[in-house]
Amino acid sequence: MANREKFLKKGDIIIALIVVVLALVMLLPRYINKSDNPVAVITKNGEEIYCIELNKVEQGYDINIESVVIRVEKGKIFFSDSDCKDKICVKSGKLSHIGDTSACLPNKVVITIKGVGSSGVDAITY
Amino acid sequence: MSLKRKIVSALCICLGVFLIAGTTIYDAVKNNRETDKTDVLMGTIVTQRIYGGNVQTAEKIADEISRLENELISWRVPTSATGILNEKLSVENEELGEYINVCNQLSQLSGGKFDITCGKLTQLWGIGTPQAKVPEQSEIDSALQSVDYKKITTDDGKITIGEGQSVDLGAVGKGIACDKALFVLKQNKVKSAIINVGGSLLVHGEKSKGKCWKIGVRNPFSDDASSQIATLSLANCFVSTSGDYEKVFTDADGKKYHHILNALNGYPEQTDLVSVTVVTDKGILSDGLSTVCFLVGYEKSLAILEKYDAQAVFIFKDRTVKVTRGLQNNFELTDNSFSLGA
Repeated sequence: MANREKFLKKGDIIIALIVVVLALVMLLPRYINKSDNPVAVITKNGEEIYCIELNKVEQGYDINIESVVIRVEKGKIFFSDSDCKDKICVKSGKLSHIGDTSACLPNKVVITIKGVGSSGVDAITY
Repeated sequence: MSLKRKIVSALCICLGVFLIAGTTIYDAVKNNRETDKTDVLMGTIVTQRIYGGNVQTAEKIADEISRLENELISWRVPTSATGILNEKLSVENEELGEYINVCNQLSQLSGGKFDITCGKLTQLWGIGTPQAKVPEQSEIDSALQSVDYKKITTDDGKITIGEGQSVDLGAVGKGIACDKALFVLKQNKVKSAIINVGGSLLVHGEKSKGKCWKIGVRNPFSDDASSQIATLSLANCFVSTSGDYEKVFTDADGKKYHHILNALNGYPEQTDLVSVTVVTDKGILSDGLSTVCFLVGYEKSLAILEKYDAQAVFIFKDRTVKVTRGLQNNFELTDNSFSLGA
């Protein structure tokens, strides 16, 4: 103890701690993102047009992409309406798990849930 | 401040700066290394994850799949080689001829249950389209008259089909798209990627050094598309699945009809299988073989798979799962409500 007091002053420790804590704070979001945190990515004609963190949604809302309506709620997202004939997109139900994908093929709108999920697979064959 | 104190403080600050800089650089490199792209092509969802490539590589793959659809294999596009073949009963196209030859070999092995000249039959059922219906028996009989792969000739790049025949390459289209993707990846020297064309996969290289890609096998009994029954650990191969749960049409009485038609009787094939997943070294074969195996059933599939050095996972209606020998070490059952059969 006596040696340490000689070796390091209070100020030195504070500066060192501030720098290390700052570094750790910057590292933190990387690990938070690695938990089950679903992010819905909406693409139209292959271009990403929306990216929504589903767990951060407080109040539900609609997104209109031309004649397609996508409903966003806390932890889930789904096609609520479309002008396409078959309505497969609307019937496909709510997406909430990482890896879930749904599309309105005639309107070329795709919703994919991304993130590092518990399933841990890179792709699903179906 | 003593020299020692200065050194310790400097080391702590260096450590902090190193952590911050290292994190930032790692993120930048990682973002540069990994490219994700999602498109709607060939009437399905195409997702790409490419390591070590760039956005341009992903765009080239999307363009190549689009070209394949519009210039070569879509019967819906009148100006595609297949569209012209169906309209004029002949077309000169060496590449299409090669695909047709592969399909005809599969037709022969399936005893005619698999047949790409079933275009009129698939259009009649319209399963997977808003016009889906159960046709009258007379309509099915009439469509079956045009089904016979033996009438196709593919000599010197010239393809001909019989009067009234209609070619539909839907059973192998996604697999061919995966083959195209591999060609582009190799051209661009990409060593690691996973390309998913509507459930048919190109598993290119390893995910990272010594680490296989993890592929989930869809649970055929669940409406949840992300539900899986097993995991396959794979590298450098193609994977396709055919099952009776995809593209299902329900009639007024509540009876369900799936899209895998038996070209001999004109109806969706009923076997004790619900899905077959095939792993092999060519996309056209993984896609075609998964359909063929579903059509011919488990016992007859084994000899066909052996001929192509392909492996498979069979899921039966009683929830048993059978895995061919060459795939058993790569297979892990993850859903306890299924059991492994001998």
